[in-house]
Amino acid sequence: MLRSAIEAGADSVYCGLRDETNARNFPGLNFSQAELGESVVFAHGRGAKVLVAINTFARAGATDAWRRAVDVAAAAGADAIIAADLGVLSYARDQFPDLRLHLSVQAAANSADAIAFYARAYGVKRVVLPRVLSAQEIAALIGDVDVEIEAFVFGGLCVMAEGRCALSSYATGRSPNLSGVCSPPEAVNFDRSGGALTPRLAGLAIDRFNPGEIAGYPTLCKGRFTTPESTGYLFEEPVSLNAMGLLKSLRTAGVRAVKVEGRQRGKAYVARVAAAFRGAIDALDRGEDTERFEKLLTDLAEGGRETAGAYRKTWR
Amino acid sequence: MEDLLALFDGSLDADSAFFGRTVQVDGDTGAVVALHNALEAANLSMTDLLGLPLIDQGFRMLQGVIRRSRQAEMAR
Repeated sequence: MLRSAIEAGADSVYCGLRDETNARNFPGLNFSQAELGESVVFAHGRGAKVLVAINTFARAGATDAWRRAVDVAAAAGADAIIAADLGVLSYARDQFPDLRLHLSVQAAANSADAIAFYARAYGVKRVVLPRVLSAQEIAALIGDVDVEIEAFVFGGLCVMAEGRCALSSYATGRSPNLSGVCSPPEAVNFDRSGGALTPRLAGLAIDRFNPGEIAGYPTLCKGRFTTPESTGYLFEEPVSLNAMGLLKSLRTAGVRAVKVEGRQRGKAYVARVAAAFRGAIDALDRGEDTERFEKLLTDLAEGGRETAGAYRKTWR
Repeated sequence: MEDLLALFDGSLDADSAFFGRTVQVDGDTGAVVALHNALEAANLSMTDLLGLPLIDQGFRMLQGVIRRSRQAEMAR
């Protein structure tokens, strides 16, 4: 998958180790120590960078896994690590002063004060913004900070305060920020009795899709629930972010890097999304517009629908 | 069958196929996710799946034609 992304034109690829130290802890996904080393060699041979996500929160009494992940990333020659936990950041700063640190979206740093703290205390060079800010808010923020800013432009969306989601732990005892998964696959099953598709998480029905209805991921935050007031998506709808149309304003705002969610997906997804954004960014460089790239990826979207997310969000 | 082979060689995105209800998941979801990731990592080609290089070439041509026609459709 890393190779597909680089061959499709990605400048950098972020990835994780095969354990709970990153937020896509799925069976069979991610890299062993040896694979990470080989991937860094492959990427550097093609002028691309490898950023290692160690972005879950280290668990008290079991912090060795997170320290080891930092050691492995540094030994592999990673170009940066992406972290959120203060302990992980301080360990990396102290042990590997030359290792570049990026602040993960999981840290939810969305103010100039918060960003300045991470830069001052840990030497963070780049901050990945939470997906809750509008394009205007990002532009204002960039004027007030002196680190690089990275923004998500495609893929899944989290609800609100990223890095603080414990919703799934009520159902499964595990949560994205501690265990690296919001719906551990072993707790998910799909009930197809009665003609409808009912995804269940630890036995709790999350949604019910009629035959032919476009489905989403089996996560609680994208579920449909009945309350005394209404029945519907209570937290977030199953849609995907596509901010292709906002690339130009993000660039004007001073955003240094744009990021694609979905390293749990596959080669087809990674290659198509990377190629489309490579094309759009190159078009912007030539002073052209990005319109012809905007509809290339709709069929990849969760729930089959796309949104410009908070970049153009209004509150209900 | 075309979708199944495309899933195996990684040219069709499995999650999109799931959203669109082309793929149905039954039984142990952990095993399904592990199988998906193993297939993605294995970089299988049609030659590996069917053992015949000629079929591989033919299939790639067919895939190319389908992809181009889909892109043409989307560009419209």
